[in-house]
Amino acid sequence: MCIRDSMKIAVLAKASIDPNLVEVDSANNVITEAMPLIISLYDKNAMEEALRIKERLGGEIHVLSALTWGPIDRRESEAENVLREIIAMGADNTHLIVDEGLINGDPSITSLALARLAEKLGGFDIYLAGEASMDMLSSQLPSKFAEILGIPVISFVKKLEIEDKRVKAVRSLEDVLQTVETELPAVISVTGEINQPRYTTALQIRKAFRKPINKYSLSDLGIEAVERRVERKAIKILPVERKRVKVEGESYEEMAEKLIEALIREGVIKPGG
Amino acid sequence: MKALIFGNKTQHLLELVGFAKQLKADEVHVLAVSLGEEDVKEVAELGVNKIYLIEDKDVTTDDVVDKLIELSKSVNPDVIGGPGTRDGYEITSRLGARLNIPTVTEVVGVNIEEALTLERAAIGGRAVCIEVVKPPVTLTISLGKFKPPEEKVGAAVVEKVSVEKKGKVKIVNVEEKAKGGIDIAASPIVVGVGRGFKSKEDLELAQKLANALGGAVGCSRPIAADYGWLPEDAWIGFSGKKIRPKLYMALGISGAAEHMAGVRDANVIVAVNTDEKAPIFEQSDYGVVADLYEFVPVFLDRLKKVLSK
Ligand SMILES: Cc1cc2nc3c(=O)[nH]c(=O)nc-3n(C[C@H](O)[C@H](O)[C@H](O)COP(=O)(O)OP(=O)(O)OC[C@H]3O[C@@H](n4cnc5c(N)ncnc54)[C@H](O)[C@@H]3O)c2cc1C
Ligand SMILES: Nc1ncnc2c1ncn2[C@@H]1O[C@H](COP(=O)(O)O)[C@@H](O)[C@H]1O
Repeated sequence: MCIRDSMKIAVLAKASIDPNLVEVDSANNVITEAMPLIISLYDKNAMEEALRIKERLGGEIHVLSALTWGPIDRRESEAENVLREIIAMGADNTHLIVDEGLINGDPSITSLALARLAEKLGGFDIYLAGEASMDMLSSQLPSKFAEILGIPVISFVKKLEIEDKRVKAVRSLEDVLQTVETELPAVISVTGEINQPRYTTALQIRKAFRKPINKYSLSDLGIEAVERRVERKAIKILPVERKRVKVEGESYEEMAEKLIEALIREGVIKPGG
Repeated sequence: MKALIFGNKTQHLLELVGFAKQLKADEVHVLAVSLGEEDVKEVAELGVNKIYLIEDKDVTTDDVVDKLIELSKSVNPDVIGGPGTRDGYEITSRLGARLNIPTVTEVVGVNIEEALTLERAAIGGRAVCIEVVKPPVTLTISLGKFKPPEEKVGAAVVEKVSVEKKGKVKIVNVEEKAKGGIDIAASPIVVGVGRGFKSKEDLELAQKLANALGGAVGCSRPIAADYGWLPEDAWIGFSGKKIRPKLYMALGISGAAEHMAGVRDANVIVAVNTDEKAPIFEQSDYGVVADLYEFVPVFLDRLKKVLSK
């Protein structure tokens, strides 16, 4: 085993489709192809945590990503562009897997590909990921990825300490805070509360465009065939039936009056209590 | 179809049995984690085959994964189901990887007519993804979606089992989270506060409004989780509480998909936001484009007059 005093850190970052810019057809199907990509919100918290570890212990940060939304010909450069946002925060190296076999694939396949990529890069001391991706919210990838690599995973971490290749982490569960310990290498999924991701300047983003992004296909990673045991049939929007009435008036008094009248009509408040 | 279900809360196990009935499972085996004999009594009466009980309170996700793998060797389940909790996501995902079978988290619906078809939450909770899976599969159910069966049929055998604790992750401390003492999910009127509020002290305004309406104050995730201005049990949304009040009044909340997933079943939604382009207006019944600091005091004043008439 080689002894390092600095840390080799991997950040798993997803180019997710933006759940706040939904496009649907007349049959309520979500047209994912028409929705823009965005870096999954909490992956920036994973990156921020990586930067803090590097600042304290030294080392290098690699961003690992797999494209899962098609069509590939258009999405490849779009994914590279959104990854710049996270690279600009301070990544040393970036690796993106682009392969038809991953499009609309399930997390089992994506985690296998990312695990093979991590192995190809010689393995890392710590892997940081988000608690859930914005689009699929599956909270599966970090756990599966860790199992494939055969290392521990600590999920939903809101506080992380590293000392002599040991991790102490506070997991935020529904009713309790659970403090756990393990040895590195390990996979950590972070909650959105663990830190406040730093802002990036326009200059940093411009510089990020000069950094190369290494690209891989599944066969580059030694994966020749993927068996699909989950077949995605459709993504259907849950229709929102709301009145969308704009309460307008010359003054706040008038608007308040109108809103109160509406709430009385709706039967949710009653005059006289 | 055979099901193996697990969980560490009676209510979750009951819902999982409800789910297994929808699968028309002919065998249901239960792993009850960190529970006592009393806790599984109700579950035992629902026509399940057997309950394996781990009474130890100090078990890790590793221990549960190991136990489920051991049990699945004898039970041979088509479906291994857990609750849609943070531990539940981790356990089923790891189990899927170890057994080399797929995992589907946050299942909200199931259809078994032709193939096993699962509906799961997607796109920030605004949509469902319909997936056909080849069993065996591991999954978590979205809590509150599947009703426990009502009929009682005998009592299943309960066998106490122990765990080996071979895992590499050790628990060193467990601390209860602070609670607000008010169950916002039970309140008929909820005033929701978001990052439009500038300080913790200012939440007083929302509390006054809630008091006048006879409701409770809930919040977006950052207010509870990032700032700690309210306890976490007031946090509404996909990863927080799902509520169904007759009135939800959102003040200074942008309307992100993950937040709105928690108020989908509200009867009437009112939004107050300075930004007329805020997504919340598309998802509300009544929208007020205004500074909450100016509008709410005026509204509260009028409201009090009307209510006391
Ligand atoms: C996996 C995942 C799970 C998540 N789960 C949840 C969840 O369960 N619940 C949840 O809430 N979020 C959740 N989120 C976070 C969510 O995406 C948003 O970041 C969050 O809901 C934003 O909270 P907000 O609306 O309070 O803040 P912002 O989005 O910052 O919105 C603040 C709003 O206040 C308005 N405003 C500002 N000043 C005023 C004023 N003076 N008067 C009136 N309006 C004003 C602004 O115009 C803005 O629209 C999740 C995210 C992810 C990725
Ligand atoms: N395609 C991907 N590429 C890189 N990282 C991913 C990918 N999908 C998920 N992740 C990581 O896993 C976390 C949880 O994602 P999910 O399991 O989809 O909820 C994300 O926050 C990312 O850190």
